[in-house]
Amino acid sequence: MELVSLFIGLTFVNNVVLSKFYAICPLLGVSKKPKNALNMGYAVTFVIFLASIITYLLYYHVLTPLGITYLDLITFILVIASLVQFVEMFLKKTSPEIYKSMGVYLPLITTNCAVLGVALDNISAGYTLIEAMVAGLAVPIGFTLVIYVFATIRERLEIANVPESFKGTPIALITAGIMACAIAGIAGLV
Amino acid sequence: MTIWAILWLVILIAIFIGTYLLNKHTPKPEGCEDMSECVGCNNIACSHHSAHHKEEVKNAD
Repeated sequence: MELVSLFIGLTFVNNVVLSKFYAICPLLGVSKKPKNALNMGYAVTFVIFLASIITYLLYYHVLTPLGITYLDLITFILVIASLVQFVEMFLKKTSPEIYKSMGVYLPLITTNCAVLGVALDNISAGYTLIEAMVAGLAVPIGFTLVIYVFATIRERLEIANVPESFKGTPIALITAGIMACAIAGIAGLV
Repeated sequence: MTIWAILWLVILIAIFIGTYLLNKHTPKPEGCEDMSECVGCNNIACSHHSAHHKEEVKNAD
Protein backbone atom coordinates (compact mmCIF):
# COMPACT_ATOMS: atom_id res chain seq x y z
CA MET A 1 0.00 0.00 0.00
CA GLU A 2 2.86 2.37 0.82
CA LEU A 3 4.37 1.70 -2.59
CA VAL A 4 1.04 2.52 -4.26
CA SER A 5 0.86 5.78 -2.29
CA LEU A 6 4.44 6.56 -3.30
CA PHE A 7 3.64 5.84 -6.94
CA ILE A 8 0.49 8.02 -7.00
CA GLY A 9 2.22 10.73 -5.00
CA LEU A 10 5.20 10.97 -7.34
CA THR A 11 3.11 10.68 -10.50
CA PHE A 12 0.43 13.26 -9.71
CA VAL A 13 0.76 15.15 -6.41
CA ASN A 14 4.52 15.73 -6.39
CA ASN A 15 4.79 15.70 -10.16
CA VAL A 16 8.40 16.26 -11.08
CA VAL A 17 7.64 18.88 -13.73
CA LEU A 18 4.77 20.85 -12.22
CA SER A 19 5.70 20.84 -8.54
CA LYS A 20 9.51 20.62 -8.57
CA PHE A 21 10.04 22.32 -11.95
CA TYR A 22 12.56 19.76 -13.19
CA ALA A 23 12.72 19.01 -16.93
CA ILE A 24 11.26 22.34 -18.02
CA CYS A 25 13.66 22.38 -20.99
CA PRO A 26 12.21 19.28 -22.72
CA LEU A 27 8.72 20.32 -21.60
CA LEU A 28 8.98 23.50 -23.65
CA GLY A 29 11.31 22.20 -26.37
CA VAL A 30 9.78 18.83 -27.26
CA SER A 31 6.07 19.54 -26.78
CA LYS A 32 5.16 20.94 -30.17
CA LYS A 33 3.79 17.63 -31.41
CA PRO A 34 2.12 14.96 -29.21
CA LYS A 35 3.94 12.14 -31.04
CA ASN A 36 7.34 13.67 -30.29
CA ALA A 37 6.29 14.28 -26.69
CA LEU A 38 5.36 10.60 -26.28
CA ASN A 39 8.67 9.46 -27.81
CA MET A 40 10.54 11.67 -25.38
CA GLY A 41 8.45 10.27 -22.54
CA TYR A 42 9.27 6.65 -23.46
CA ALA A 43 12.98 7.40 -23.71
CA VAL A 44 13.01 9.28 -20.39
CA THR A 45 11.08 6.48 -18.65
CA PHE A 46 13.60 3.90 -19.81
CA VAL A 47 16.63 5.92 -18.76
CA ILE A 48 15.27 7.16 -15.41
CA PHE A 49 14.26 3.63 -14.37
CA LEU A 50 17.70 2.21 -15.16
CA ALA A 51 19.54 5.24 -13.74
CA SER A 52 17.64 5.16 -10.44
CA ILE A 53 18.59 1.50 -9.88
CA ILE A 54 22.24 1.88 -10.91
CA THR A 55 22.84 5.10 -8.95
CA TYR A 56 21.17 3.64 -5.84
CA LEU A 57 23.39 0.54 -5.97
CA LEU A 58 26.53 2.59 -6.59
CA TYR A 59 25.77 4.97 -3.72
CA TYR A 60 25.14 2.29 -1.08
CA HIS A 61 27.57 -0.39 -2.31
CA VAL A 62 30.51 1.67 -3.60
CA LEU A 63 30.46 5.29 -2.41
CA THR A 64 29.33 4.62 1.17
CA PRO A 65 31.79 1.78 1.95
CA LEU A 66 34.67 3.82 0.48
CA GLY A 67 33.60 6.93 2.43
CA ILE A 68 33.38 9.12 -0.68
CA THR A 69 29.67 9.96 -0.64
CA TYR A 70 30.57 13.60 -1.33
CA LEU A 71 31.25 12.49 -4.91
CA ASP A 72 27.61 11.49 -5.43
CA LEU A 73 26.73 14.38 -7.75
CA ILE A 74 29.63 13.94 -10.18
CA THR A 75 29.22 10.14 -10.01
CA PHE A 76 25.55 10.34 -10.95
CA ILE A 77 26.22 12.79 -13.79
CA LEU A 78 28.89 10.53 -15.31
CA VAL A 79 26.81 7.39 -14.77
CA ILE A 80 23.77 8.95 -16.48
CA ALA A 81 25.87 10.24 -19.39
CA SER A 82 27.51 6.80 -19.82
CA LEU A 83 24.15 5.06 -19.52
CA VAL A 84 22.62 7.17 -22.28
CA GLN A 85 25.62 6.43 -24.55
CA PHE A 86 25.29 2.73 -23.80
CA VAL A 87 21.53 2.67 -24.36
CA GLU A 88 21.97 4.52 -27.68
CA MET A 89 24.62 2.06 -28.81
CA PHE A 90 22.53 -0.92 -27.68
CA LEU A 91 19.49 0.32 -29.60
CA LYS A 92 21.57 0.98 -32.73
CA LYS A 93 22.72 -2.64 -32.69
CA THR A 94 19.61 -4.48 -31.55
CA SER A 95 16.51 -2.35 -32.23
CA PRO A 96 16.97 0.01 -35.18
CA GLU A 97 13.23 0.70 -35.26
CA ILE A 98 13.15 1.97 -31.67
CA TYR A 99 16.35 3.93 -32.30
CA LYS A 100 14.76 5.47 -35.39
CA SER A 101 11.58 6.42 -33.52
CA MET A 102 13.49 8.03 -30.65
CA GLY A 103 15.87 9.85 -32.95
CA VAL A 104 17.51 12.89 -31.43
CA TYR A 105 15.59 12.62 -28.15
CA LEU A 106 17.78 9.82 -26.88
CA PRO A 107 21.08 11.79 -26.57
CA LEU A 108 19.11 14.80 -25.30
CA ILE A 109 18.13 12.84 -22.18
CA THR A 110 21.66 13.39 -20.86
CA THR A 111 20.75 17.04 -20.30
CA ASN A 112 17.36 16.27 -18.71
CA CYS A 113 17.71 17.33 -15.08
CA ALA A 114 14.79 15.09 -14.04
CA VAL A 115 17.09 12.06 -14.44
CA LEU A 116 19.67 13.51 -12.08
CA GLY A 117 16.92 14.85 -9.80
CA VAL A 118 15.37 11.41 -9.32
CA ALA A 119 18.74 9.84 -8.57
CA LEU A 120 19.56 12.48 -5.94
CA ASP A 121 16.03 12.48 -4.46
CA ASN A 122 16.14 8.70 -4.03
CA ILE A 123 19.20 9.09 -1.82
CA SER A 124 18.07 12.18 0.12
CA ALA A 125 14.63 10.66 0.81
CA GLY A 126 16.27 7.49 2.20
CA TYR A 127 14.34 5.11 -0.07
CA THR A 128 14.92 1.36 -0.15
CA LEU A 129 15.84 -0.27 -3.47
CA ILE A 130 12.20 -1.22 -4.15
CA GLU A 131 11.03 2.31 -3.35
CA ALA A 132 13.75 3.73 -5.58
CA MET A 133 12.53 1.46 -8.40
CA VAL A 134 8.93 2.62 -7.87
CA ALA A 135 10.14 6.24 -7.88
CA GLY A 136 12.12 5.47 -11.04
CA LEU A 137 8.87 4.45 -12.73
CA ALA A 138 6.43 6.93 -11.18
CA VAL A 139 8.43 10.09 -11.88
CA PRO A 140 8.93 9.53 -15.64
CA ILE A 141 5.31 8.37 -16.03
CA GLY A 142 4.25 11.67 -14.43
CA PHE A 143 6.64 13.48 -16.77
CA THR A 144 5.22 11.66 -19.81
CA LEU A 145 1.62 12.46 -18.81
CA VAL A 146 2.38 16.15 -18.36
CA ILE A 147 4.43 16.56 -21.53
CA TYR A 148 1.80 14.72 -23.60
CA VAL A 149 -1.13 16.75 -22.21
CA PHE A 150 0.93 19.92 -22.65
CA ALA A 151 1.71 18.98 -26.28
CA THR A 152 -1.99 18.41 -27.09
CA ILE A 153 -2.88 21.81 -25.55
CA ARG A 154 -0.09 23.53 -27.52
CA GLU A 155 -1.31 21.90 -30.71
CA ARG A 156 -4.74 23.45 -30.14
CA LEU A 157 -3.18 26.77 -29.23
CA GLU A 158 -1.50 26.87 -32.66
CA ILE A 159 -4.91 27.33 -34.29
CA ALA A 160 -6.49 29.35 -31.45
CA ASN A 161 -7.05 33.08 -31.65
CA VAL A 162 -4.25 34.09 -29.28
CA PRO A 163 -3.23 37.80 -28.99
CA GLU A 164 -0.08 38.49 -30.97
CA SER A 165 2.08 39.29 -27.92
CA PHE A 166 1.10 35.99 -26.25
CA LYS A 167 1.79 33.70 -29.21
CA GLY A 168 4.44 31.00 -28.85
CA THR A 169 6.43 30.69 -25.62
CA PRO A 170 4.41 33.20 -23.49
CA ILE A 171 1.12 31.34 -23.87
CA ALA A 172 2.96 28.03 -23.38
CA LEU A 173 4.39 29.26 -20.06
CA ILE A 174 0.97 30.53 -18.94
CA THR A 175 -0.50 27.12 -19.83
CA ALA A 176 2.21 25.37 -17.80
CA GLY A 177 1.43 27.67 -14.86
CA ILE A 178 -2.29 26.84 -14.99
CA MET A 179 -1.43 23.12 -15.16
CA ALA A 180 0.81 23.53 -12.10
CA CYS A 181 -2.10 25.20 -10.23
CA ALA A 182 -4.37 22.28 -11.17
CA ILE A 183 -1.79 19.77 -9.86
CA ALA A 184 -1.39 21.79 -6.63
CA GLY A 185 -5.15 21.40 -6.13
CA ILE A 186 -4.79 17.66 -5.50
CA ALA A 187 -1.91 18.06 -3.02
CA GLY A 188 -3.92 16.57 -0.14
CA LEU A 189 -4.79 13.39 -2.05
CA VAL A 190 -1.84 11.30 -0.79
CA MET B 1 40.33 8.08 1.12
CA THR B 2 41.57 10.70 -1.36
CA ILE B 3 43.21 7.96 -3.42
CA TRP B 4 39.91 6.07 -3.55
CA ALA B 5 38.15 9.25 -4.69
CA ILE B 6 40.69 9.90 -7.45
CA LEU B 7 40.62 6.25 -8.53
CA TRP B 8 36.82 6.26 -8.59
CA LEU B 9 36.73 9.40 -10.74
CA VAL B 10 39.30 7.97 -13.14
CA ILE B 11 37.20 4.80 -13.48
CA LEU B 12 34.02 6.80 -14.14
CA ILE B 13 35.67 9.08 -16.69
CA ALA B 14 37.24 6.05 -18.43
CA ILE B 15 33.84 4.35 -18.60
CA PHE B 16 32.26 7.50 -20.06
CA ILE B 17 34.99 7.95 -22.67
CA GLY B 18 34.78 4.23 -23.50
CA THR B 19 31.00 4.27 -24.00
CA TYR B 20 31.23 7.55 -25.96
CA LEU B 21 33.85 6.15 -28.34
CA LEU B 22 32.02 2.83 -28.74
CA ASN B 23 28.78 4.68 -29.46
CA LYS B 24 30.50 7.01 -31.93
CA HIS B 25 31.99 4.09 -33.85
CA THR B 26 28.75 2.12 -33.93
CA PRO B 27 27.19 2.66 -37.36
CA LYS B 28 23.67 4.08 -37.45
CA PRO B 29 21.00 1.72 -38.79
CA GLU B 30 19.93 2.40 -42.37
CA GLY B 31 17.08 4.82 -42.85
CA CYS B 32 17.58 6.66 -39.57
CA GLU B 33 17.02 10.38 -39.54
CA ASP B 34 19.97 12.72 -39.77
CA MET B 35 20.27 14.02 -36.23
CA SER B 36 22.02 17.17 -37.36
CA GLU B 37 18.71 18.24 -38.90
CA CYS B 38 16.82 18.36 -35.59
CA VAL B 39 14.30 21.19 -35.28
CA GLY B 40 12.81 20.01 -31.99
CA CYS B 41 13.56 23.26 -30.17
CA ASN B 42 15.14 26.67 -30.70
CA ASN B 43 18.26 26.03 -28.62
CA ILE B 44 21.03 26.95 -31.06
CA ALA B 45 23.68 25.96 -28.48
CA CYS B 46 22.70 22.29 -29.00
CA SER B 47 25.05 20.51 -31.42
CA HIS B 48 22.07 18.78 -33.05
CA HIS B 49 20.43 22.09 -34.05
CA SER B 50 20.01 22.57 -37.78
CA ALA B 51 22.00 25.83 -37.65
CA HIS B 52 25.20 23.86 -36.97
CA HIS B 53 24.44 21.53 -39.86
CA LYS B 54 24.09 24.53 -42.21
CA GLU B 55 27.46 25.87 -40.99
CA GLU B 56 29.10 22.49 -41.68
CA VAL B 57 27.70 22.41 -45.22
CA LYS B 58 28.83 26.00 -45.81
CA ASN B 59 32.37 25.20 -44.59
CA ALA B 60 32.50 22.08 -46.76
CA ASP B 61 31.61 24.19 -49.81
